[in-house]
Amino acid sequence: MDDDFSRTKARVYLALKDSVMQNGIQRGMASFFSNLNLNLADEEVVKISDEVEETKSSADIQGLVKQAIDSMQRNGVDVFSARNKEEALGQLKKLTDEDKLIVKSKSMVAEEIGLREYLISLGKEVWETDLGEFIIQLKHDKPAQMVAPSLHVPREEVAALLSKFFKTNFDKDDLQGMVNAVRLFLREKIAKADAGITGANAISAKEGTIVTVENEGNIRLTMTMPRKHIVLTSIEKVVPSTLDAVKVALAQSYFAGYTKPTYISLTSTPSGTGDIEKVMVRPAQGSKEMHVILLDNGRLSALNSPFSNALKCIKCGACQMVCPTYSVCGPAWGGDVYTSAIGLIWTAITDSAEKAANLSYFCLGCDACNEVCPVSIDISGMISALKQKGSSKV
Amino acid sequence: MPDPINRVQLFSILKENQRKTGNPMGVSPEALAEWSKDEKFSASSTILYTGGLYQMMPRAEKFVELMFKAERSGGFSLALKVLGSETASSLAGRLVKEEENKVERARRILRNASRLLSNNGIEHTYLGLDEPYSGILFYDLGLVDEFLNIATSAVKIFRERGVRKIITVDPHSTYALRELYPRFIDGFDFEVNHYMEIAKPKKNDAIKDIYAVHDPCILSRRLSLADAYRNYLDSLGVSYVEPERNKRMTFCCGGPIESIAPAIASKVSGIRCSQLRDKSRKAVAACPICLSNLGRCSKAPQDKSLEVFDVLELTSYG
Repeated sequence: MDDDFSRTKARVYLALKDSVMQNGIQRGMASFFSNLNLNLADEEVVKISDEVEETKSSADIQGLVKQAIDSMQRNGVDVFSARNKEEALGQLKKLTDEDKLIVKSKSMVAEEIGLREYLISLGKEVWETDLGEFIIQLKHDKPAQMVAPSLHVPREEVAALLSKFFKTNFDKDDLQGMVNAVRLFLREKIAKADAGITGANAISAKEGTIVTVENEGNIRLTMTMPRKHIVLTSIEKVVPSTLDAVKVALAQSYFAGYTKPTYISLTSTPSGTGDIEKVMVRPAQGSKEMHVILLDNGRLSALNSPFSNALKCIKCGACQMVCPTYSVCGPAWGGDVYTSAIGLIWTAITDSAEKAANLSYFCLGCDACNEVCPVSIDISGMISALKQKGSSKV
Repeated sequence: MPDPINRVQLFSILKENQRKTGNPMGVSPEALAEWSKDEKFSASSTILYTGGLYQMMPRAEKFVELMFKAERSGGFSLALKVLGSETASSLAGRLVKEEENKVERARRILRNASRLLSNNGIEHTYLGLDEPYSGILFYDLGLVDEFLNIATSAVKIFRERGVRKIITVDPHSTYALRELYPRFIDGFDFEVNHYMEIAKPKKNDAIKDIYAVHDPCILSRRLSLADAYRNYLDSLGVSYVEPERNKRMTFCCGGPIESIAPAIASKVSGIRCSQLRDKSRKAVAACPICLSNLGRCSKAPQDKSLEVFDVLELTSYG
């Protein structure tokens, strides 16, 4: 009787006993909240998020994607449209056929298609270059949150994971030592890698420019050191202009709780130089080839569903970081990839509406998520629609 | 063996109670209307609408407590028997004895609400045994058809009784009547006001303590009444402190999912209690569900214990 729901509930309940996870999440939520408040006190931040909301609300996704593909092809970028997970993985297999060592930056779209595990299953050596995602890779876990994948892993556990991996003994408070060991290890891998795979925060339709935002510097290395740069991203990331795309990146960073991003990168073409007689030679110091995969995976059909507004999401994760249910259940309150708040809607769009409906009953309907969403998505209302979908079948 | 309650079981109890007694907790209409026994009302097209929520909470607490225990130690089917097989009136009767304090507390809150209105010159009546439930719990659980049925018959009663204006005492019923009913019911043309929007309490000199303010989510976010709430506290002369998560950024008491996931609700309420407890040993709320959920923290050990009051308890008209 009501077995799927009962199984989901049992899984979420199990997390209630995990005080280690709860400590990690609750500490993260507390510092996030004070950072977000500081950011919201800045008029400029509010202005940018208002502009992003406007841009995202008026976006004609299909038209923008078409324009972006033309622009990117004009830029000498190879573009592939993937309707689903299988098509995206197929294309990635083709693109990396000869490659043995692959490095990648953190990307929710890559999680969506199970990219790391897939490439490893093909016999390739694959490394995550974002520290949090590297921890997740060592832990064989799923990301806890959109921006901070290892939010649920406290320093004690990080020290244990890294000590085992590096066959040494890290003190839990030696954060510098741990980060440095990962830095040295990954630098060597990045330098030798055959291909670097990144995501995108936004793509401009007019210029065909990919915008990424980060603090670690790993995305820049991942996209420029290997000869091959593959961008795996999804169709709702396309906005009209490069200026719009940069604003998306800024808003994502501000609402993720950072005062200012360390790096924003704009990438339009494979690297080249015209310094010798103005003749373009590729590559110069960066990638020689650039490939973009644009994934649909349920997004176009979502346009005609109660979840269409979720496509405005800039994946800042603010909604997750203020959610009371998330503070006690953590990533267990989620699907295989996306967790908590808007994560339930992304689960419905990219995986299964039934799974999301089973999870929806643990939403308090408190609207904290709606309050912090930079693009005013009615997340709570959509979760309420999921409950209605679920209850109509009981 | 843990025995988590599922939707089929929960929904059937709530629907059955609704069918038998007109509310999902199975409290008799007589028990719901008891608070008004000695109150004076005027013949008026304005009603004080309780939606039965304050009155139902002692019963809801018992319900959640039983489920919580059953989910932890098994025997849910036994708990179901207790909740399902007894008649509503005998349960309500038993409750009066067991939970007399809580029941009396709810009655006092509602009497204060009615006297607050009278003191502000707002003539009103109360529908008593005929007062319909708003259906909000069914809506919150995604049971839209049940909600629609309840809302339709509630509006029918309002029309039959010549109601024009509705004054509400809790955020959930306010939200249901003001925001949801017009969406679901054609020609819904009743004026709905929360008491804080239209009435100013007299100063209560008996209040000496400093209270941490808890903003009920629906009150401060969906109804945007955070400022009205504080104005109300100022008129009462209550000294209060603000927790970090306040006003539109408030943190939930856990209550809305207490029927379907009591263990999660209880963890969430524990977190909110400690946020409030960091500011003061006493807290003020303005919602029966918050009152009940945060109220559990009064049983915590001394250094963590928090006493929670409804703002209508601090409102005093003797």
